[in-house]
Amino acid sequence: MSAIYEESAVLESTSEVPLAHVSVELGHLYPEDLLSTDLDRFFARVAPWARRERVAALVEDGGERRPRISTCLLVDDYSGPAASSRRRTPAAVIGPLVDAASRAGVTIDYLARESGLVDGTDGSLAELVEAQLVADPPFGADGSRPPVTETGWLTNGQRSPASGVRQAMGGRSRWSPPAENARHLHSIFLDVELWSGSAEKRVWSCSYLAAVWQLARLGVLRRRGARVLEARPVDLADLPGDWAELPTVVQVSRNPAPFSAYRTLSVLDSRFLPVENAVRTILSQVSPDPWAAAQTVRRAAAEGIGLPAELPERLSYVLLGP
Amino acid sequence: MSPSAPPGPADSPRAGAAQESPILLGDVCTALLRHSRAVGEPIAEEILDLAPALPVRSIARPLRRTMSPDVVEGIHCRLPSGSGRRVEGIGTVASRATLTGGRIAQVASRVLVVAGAQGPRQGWSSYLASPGRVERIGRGRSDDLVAGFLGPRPSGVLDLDAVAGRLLDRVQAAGPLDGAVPLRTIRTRLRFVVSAGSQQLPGPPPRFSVNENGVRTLLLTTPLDDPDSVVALCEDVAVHDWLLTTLQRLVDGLDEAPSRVDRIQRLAPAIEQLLHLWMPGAHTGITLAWVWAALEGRPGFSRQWSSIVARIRNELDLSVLRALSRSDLPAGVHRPAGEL
Repeated sequence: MSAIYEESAVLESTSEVPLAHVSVELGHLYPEDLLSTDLDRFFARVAPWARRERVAALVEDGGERRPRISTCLLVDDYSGPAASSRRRTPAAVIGPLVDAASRAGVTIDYLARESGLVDGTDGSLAELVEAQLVADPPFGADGSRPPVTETGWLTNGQRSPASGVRQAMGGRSRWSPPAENARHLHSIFLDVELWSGSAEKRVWSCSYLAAVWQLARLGVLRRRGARVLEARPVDLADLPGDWAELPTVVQVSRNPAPFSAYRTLSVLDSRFLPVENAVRTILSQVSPDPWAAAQTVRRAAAEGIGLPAELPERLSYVLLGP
Repeated sequence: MSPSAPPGPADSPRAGAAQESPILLGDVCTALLRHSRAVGEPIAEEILDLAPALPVRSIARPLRRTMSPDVVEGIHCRLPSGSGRRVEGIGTVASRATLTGGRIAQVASRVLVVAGAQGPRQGWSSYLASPGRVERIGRGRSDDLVAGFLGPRPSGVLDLDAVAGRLLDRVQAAGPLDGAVPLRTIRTRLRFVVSAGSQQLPGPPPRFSVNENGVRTLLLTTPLDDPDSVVALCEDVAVHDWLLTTLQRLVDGLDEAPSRVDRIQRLAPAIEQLLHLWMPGAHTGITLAWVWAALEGRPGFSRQWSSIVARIRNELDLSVLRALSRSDLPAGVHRPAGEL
């Protein structure tokens, strides 16, 4: 007879994170937008789509319990003009945002700064997600050679061969079309730029950081199995003068539902349609920590909620015209 | 020591798919870590940190073993077929690197081949949701798949050996390693095929074979609800096969050594760094212990090992005796020829 011997370090495990039912994104704003945006009009247009009963319909649990819904807003302090004189401080931005939302009858629970996804206290989440990208393979990817990737780009199919290349037997090669891997009769080919600049000094694209943001809201990001990006409560009366001093995700309401959720709903200006299309292309090629992904499915099932295993299928949108 | 049940519907075929039992195919590459000595735990964790979302796992007893998280790669290609039929598969290969005793490096790459849905290719995220699973597109038979996997690989067909070899190269090129290997060894390759068996009935005995080209093959029938522990068993078998291969080559080459001193110099690194790593079944779960019991019956791994170790001990004993007898003699006295 053998004893049962176990060592905890050998067991695969991942931290549990608190999960709401739905994470509602109220908007994606640039600090400089705030000078020109009529915040009352902005939230008046968003608020009806963020109403509890409307969002609760996404939960699909038969409406038996009080849904846990949290709201958030992303301030893009990353791609805007850095250190510009037009740039507004957190203190000048966050207070008016929270007030304008509440005048429209919607509460902002969490505010995030986009640059925190690159340089936050949890390290670069952008790099963490990059290591989880598994490119959609074209037919012929048999493992014998490393996957073909164009550095800094991600596609949903096969690119058109470089045109105008002179072939060995003379004549120039004819153009041939790109192809989407999972096409039905016809392709919608997409090629997404993940970053530009040199490898040492990357500038991550808006689409890529928006994908990282969606993953954070879905609660599937881990570093060595541990939680990243915990929301920190802040005192609205005592905000730092610099965005870099602000935690990546701050909690600005009292006792909100958890920041991460089974599903996300993003209410966005329609100019973000191409960005979110790129986000879905990226998310469909992220191989999440299998334990974190399974955790969300298991916990949803324990609440009687069916959750798709595929991450892009947990996303919903409302896109508003100008 | 098998970890908790794997997440996700590892072997549940899609709705509408033909109900055919899944097959686990894998390839394990085993080599001496390219370093002058065994590495400690911090370096082992650093070089196996291949997927930052997940922790490197390790177990200390009875022998230290460190495992990387799974590294996932997408494939869409022809699947092996013994009859040469054109059967496509799409999904991901999961690979993990392992260090045993801080000294032996391995990579195991695996796919669980399941029947897929008929119809067009799904979105990539649906395949990514089950790492290490490949869906067969269209019809195909398990025995034909296995026959193809065990035969020569035509180009364009799934190449698990290449995936494993590349990841092992990456581990061997890690920054902290000095590349100064103390003895010449070879990289061995073990293929495994695991058919889904029942929990209740004992499966047929495992089959272990060595081909002319040096490739090892292990065929097993066992439940596939915990692929992780099945892979751990195959890695464990591969480590011991590699130890046998390495030590056998070493003692077989001893007679080429011109002098007894040379012989001991050749043996020393193996004695210092490899002999204590022999622990068949040390990292095999209780539910799979029967496989080791069968392999010990025939081909008898430990029998061969004992014989090799006895040979090495004899060499050592002879050297010690010779050294002693030399030092016993008073200075200036010549030893009669032919002694020892």
